[in-house]
Amino acid sequence: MDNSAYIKVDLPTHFDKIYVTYFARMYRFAKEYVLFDEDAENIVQDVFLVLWEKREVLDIQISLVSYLFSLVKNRSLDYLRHQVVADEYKQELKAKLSSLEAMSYSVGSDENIEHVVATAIDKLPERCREIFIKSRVEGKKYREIADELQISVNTVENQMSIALKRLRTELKDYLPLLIFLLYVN
Amino acid sequence: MHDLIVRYFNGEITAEEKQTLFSLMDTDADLRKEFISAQNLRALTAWLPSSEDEVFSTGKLLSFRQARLKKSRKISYRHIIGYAATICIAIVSTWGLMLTKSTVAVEKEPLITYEEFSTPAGQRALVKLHDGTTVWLNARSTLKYPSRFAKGERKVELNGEAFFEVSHNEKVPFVVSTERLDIKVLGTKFNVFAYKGRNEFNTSLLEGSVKVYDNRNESEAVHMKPNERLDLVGNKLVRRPFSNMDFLLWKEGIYAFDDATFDEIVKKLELYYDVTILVKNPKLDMYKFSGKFRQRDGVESVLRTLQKVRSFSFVKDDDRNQITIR
Repeated sequence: MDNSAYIKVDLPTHFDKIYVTYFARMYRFAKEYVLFDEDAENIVQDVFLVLWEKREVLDIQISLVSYLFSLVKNRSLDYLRHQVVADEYKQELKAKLSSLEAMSYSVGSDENIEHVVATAIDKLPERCREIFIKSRVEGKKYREIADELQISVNTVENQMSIALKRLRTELKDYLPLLIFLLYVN
Repeated sequence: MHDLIVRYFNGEITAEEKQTLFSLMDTDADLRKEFISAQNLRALTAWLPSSEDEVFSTGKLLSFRQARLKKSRKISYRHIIGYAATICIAIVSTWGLMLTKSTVAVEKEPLITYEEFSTPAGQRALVKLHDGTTVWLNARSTLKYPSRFAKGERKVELNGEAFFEVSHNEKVPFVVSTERLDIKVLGTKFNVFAYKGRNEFNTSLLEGSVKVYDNRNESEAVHMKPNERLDLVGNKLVRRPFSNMDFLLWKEGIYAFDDATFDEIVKKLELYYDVTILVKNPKLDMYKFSGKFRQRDGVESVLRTLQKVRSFSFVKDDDRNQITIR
């Protein structure tokens, strides 16, 4: 699905396809912010439940990815804001909430988030990109990557930190803007 | 990157180290920034497709279908109940809807709950109500409507701009309530511009008839005829005819300006795109502009087009969400 995948076209017909294409990504996204995987799954299932209930009437003129992104982001935010957790998690929750609140990508932009990130990653140096993809997309541990590429764990770490640094510059528009304001209690 | 942040995101951090990390973040702004940046970067990359996604998602789809079939809406209750009523984009407040449905089954007198539909900056949406009425919502507008209409009246609340095509029902009038004025109709097509907190209200009638009145005093109503537009000027409603329909093009995602001053255009752009625009070039006020712009091209595209007619420069400060025109 690309930028032109607008919801109004075919939500009832393509519901399953949309689900299969995006569930895992939305789940990964939610998992970054909520503390338990089970909650992340519930959040994403809820998003699809809304989508399902409203499939006949929803007619939103924005790209599908932007729409799904906002739904899962807002649900996660609500979850974070309403969590009552044991003390040991409080600080972590606060850090997660601040991060998500600072996430500035919004449906107001018609860009496809997937495309934005992919373009940024494409710009990385080859070795760096390879390591980054193994780690972040394929979910491999640094140790595994090091063994596979026959390099030291240290090199993997270095390459990852280069990748992150560059991506941060590339994606600065979507990363935090108001950090200083947001973290104040 | 800070060692503890690396360990945290690699899942290698101990409970003690975690505590240290978050305590440090309380006082160290740079560390905080680094954490937030790393966190959001990870989350953004979550949107990249991965080879196992399809298999994983298909498995979840099956359980999703089963849950749906069993009508086990309970799965989401725990979360849904906690959710705030104002979810900012186009999320119809689900829990209201779900609550209604389950109440219907148990008691016999259904509660009326409200659903809210909002559009973000630079977007628009079409909402279909259960009585067959369709409502186009312009950018940054909110429509609040009951999950089912009460017996004698179909009433909705609007903050923003909307085009209504009200399904005809003589027995049950349709009322659009805005910050100051209400509009009552039986079945017609009309546009309403009524953003909260702005001293601007206007409504234009295309078909049928409507009456407009202060929402505290219905007895002094103004009746409108087709092709008439009503503007609130101070405390008075001023009537004038219109023939050019371009102002309705926003429904098609087009913002049209007809012989508009630069200031008028800037005000609309600020409103629709949720951005502050500072005009530091007084010359621009001397000119009038006509043109049509695609909503999704964004505010900068509109300005770039205007630049072709009159020379000016502009810079966008993303951090402040502000555009300065010189």
